[in-house]
Amino acid sequence: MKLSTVLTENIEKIKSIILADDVIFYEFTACQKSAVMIYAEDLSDKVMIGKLVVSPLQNAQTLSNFNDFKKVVNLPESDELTTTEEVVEKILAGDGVCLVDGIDKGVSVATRKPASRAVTEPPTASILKGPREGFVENAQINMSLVRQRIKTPNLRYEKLTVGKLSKTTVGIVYIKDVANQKTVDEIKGKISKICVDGIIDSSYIIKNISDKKTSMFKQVGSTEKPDIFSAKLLEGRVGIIVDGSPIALTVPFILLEDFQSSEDYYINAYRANFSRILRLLAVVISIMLPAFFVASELFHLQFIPLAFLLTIVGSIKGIPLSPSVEMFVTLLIFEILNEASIRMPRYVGIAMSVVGALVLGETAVNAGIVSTPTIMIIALSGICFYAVPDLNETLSVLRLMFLTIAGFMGGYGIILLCAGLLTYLAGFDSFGTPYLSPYAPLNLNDLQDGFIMGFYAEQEKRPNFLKGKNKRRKNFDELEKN
Amino acid sequence: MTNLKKISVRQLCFIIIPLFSVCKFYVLPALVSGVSLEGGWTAVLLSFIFDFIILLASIFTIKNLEKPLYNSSVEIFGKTLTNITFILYAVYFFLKAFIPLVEQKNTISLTFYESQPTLLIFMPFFVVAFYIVKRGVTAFARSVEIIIWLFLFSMLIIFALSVPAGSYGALLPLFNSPRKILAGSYSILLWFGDPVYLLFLGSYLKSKEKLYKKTIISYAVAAIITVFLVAVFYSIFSSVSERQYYAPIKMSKYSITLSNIGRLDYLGSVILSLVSVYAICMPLILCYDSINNVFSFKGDNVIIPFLVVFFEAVLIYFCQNEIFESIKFVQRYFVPVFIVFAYVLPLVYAFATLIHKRKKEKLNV
Repeated sequence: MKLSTVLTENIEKIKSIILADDVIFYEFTACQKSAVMIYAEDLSDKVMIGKLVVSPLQNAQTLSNFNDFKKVVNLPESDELTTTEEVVEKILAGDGVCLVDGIDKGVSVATRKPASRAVTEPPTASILKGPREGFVENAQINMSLVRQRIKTPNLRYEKLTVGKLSKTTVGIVYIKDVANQKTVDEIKGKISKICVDGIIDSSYIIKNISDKKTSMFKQVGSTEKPDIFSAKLLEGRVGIIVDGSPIALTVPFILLEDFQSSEDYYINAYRANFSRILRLLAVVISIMLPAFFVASELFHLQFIPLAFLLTIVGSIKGIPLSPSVEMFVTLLIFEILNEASIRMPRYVGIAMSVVGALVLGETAVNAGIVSTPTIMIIALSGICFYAVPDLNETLSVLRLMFLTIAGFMGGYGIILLCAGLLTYLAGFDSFGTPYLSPYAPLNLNDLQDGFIMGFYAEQEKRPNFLKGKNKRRKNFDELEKN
Repeated sequence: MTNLKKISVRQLCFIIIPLFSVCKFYVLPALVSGVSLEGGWTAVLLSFIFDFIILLASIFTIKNLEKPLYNSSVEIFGKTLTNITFILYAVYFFLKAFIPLVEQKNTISLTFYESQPTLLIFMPFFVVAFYIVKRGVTAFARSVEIIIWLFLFSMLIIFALSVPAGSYGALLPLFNSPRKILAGSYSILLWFGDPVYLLFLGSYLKSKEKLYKKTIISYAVAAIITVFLVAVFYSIFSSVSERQYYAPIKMSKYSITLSNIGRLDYLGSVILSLVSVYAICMPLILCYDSINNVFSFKGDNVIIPFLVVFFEAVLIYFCQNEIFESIKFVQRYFVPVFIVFAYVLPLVYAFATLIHKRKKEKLNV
């Protein structure tokens, strides 16, 4: 609907669309004409509106047409508005909109001041060495954190608006000529096709752009740290920043990424390699140990060394539950404790640990409900579970699957599940990149950042599996030419 | 073709090393030792040399065909003959999976589950096999890229534990009577003839660069591992080797290390069982692929992989109690058929390719 020259009419139209008390219609006089400044109370900076728009208009010498109006309100990011829909959209995005009687156009000014917390260290990615900044819920601040690290004009930030009602800003970030243009186009296509009422968090984007929507494996990388995000952009990945979410996304994603930590690049390479191997080992132990133990107890006693077998026999004597049920119940209790401790207030969490570890664990053993080796196995598996925090969601399901199959079928069940899982992962692609890269298919160049990483100074090439244009990290001339 | 995506020469080599050797680890060492005695390893080597000729013929065919095998075959032999050949090959691949499948089932029952109903435990194998066959060659080749490292690790465990236990004097005289060696080689014929797989997998290759060099080296590695295993096996068991089926699980049990650390050799055997799953699925995938080529099914087909695996399960169900009798039956009646499909037809393909190539060259001149 076009704006009219009569201010009262325009105000009525806008009020009929936005029925909200937090939208302020500040009426004032400018050059003996009635004018109105419309803004959302909590989203806009009132001081800025007063200083940059209202005050100059009140002091203006002439305001006979739109050119005079535009000259007075000549600010960066100010737009010309001709319809009520445009006016409403700008107001809800946090901009201030000024309308003057007798002029059938309005002007919007970028006076957004959304509530945002300070840039702090993210609780989910604490490190000993390296940058401590974390993303916040504001996309602009997040982008500025990235720009602080990558100052090339090739760093592209393309905004899309997603969500019919939420109208969330989703930014696609990539380095031109480093990222694969096909991937960029694919992501843009997928995001622009998203048809939902609202995008509350970046996880909504993950669910919408993933190729296999029912898979339990992550297909999109996520990070709360701008240093990790920037490093991934430099490798040739494409980033996605969602307004309102402190978690930025990166694609394509491979399984190996979960085993990499930003700290690996800041510390001694020997220690970093050791840590990566430990993480891999921890994941295997976390998934397999309870299953192997149950399979050995039920079907393959010959797997267990004799001395250990005698200890186990001694400890399971009198336990009323079968080994698989015993392990399953203990694991279930562990999962419940885990779930409860995450959601509980911190001070209750400490008490919870005491109850879980001492009361439940020790009493259950003393009462002869569960055996000591079972508690030990679950505890070890539980500790290993947290060595790779990003894999937690998948690991917990896998562990249960392996345990169940080991209880029914023993070792051969574990073998079959491994074969099925391996085939599934081997045939899995994330945005055209094999999920098990660089191991399947094997890419010798990309092994430089595999489970055993090379020295960072020697990592001259970007990962081949990302199929970017500029393959050599030190090939700046070619990048600048483009 | 089941999957239009391609595989690399490296993936083909990674298929050769573990999958061409693992199927020869279970019954073959005992069988060949029974016939050739200390010359068992020579008989195995001789079989590998026979296969090597077929390997060269298959690589020659792959290298010189511009189109996938089926399309080239249609061009050379005509559609009807090609379709008949491919259908017969599908049956051949279906039956070729039988012996490793039987071995796998028996290994599971006799070594892992001594007192359990193993058929019930073994049947889920077919669910996984169906999934692997359905996913096609690309996923299979990528999986084998992970499997090969596990295979080498398991071989390291098994050899590290068994080699010190061997009494290598038992292998003398090094070259036994040629008749015994030839008889031994003939007795294990059904475990060989793998290079024909390459002929079919060659259709999926995206590049044929260094194909000869790489496949020959990987084939040599597979042969060395198998021959070495048979030699170590005989050096451990000598005159009683013919009764020692499922070699990997038995070879390492005399190591004194095991009394301190437990049955670490079982870990090697467990990994080999995982490798065997893929080795059994390879002919099944090619069976599905051959059928798919003939009938040109569009999109992802579920019914054919299901039927292939289902009939294999039925076959195992009926033969489960007479496993050694079944193997003997196959040995008695299947050998001529086997020779035709594993040795004669690949040679025919190689000659036909050569003639076709020369004809084309003449036409171009």
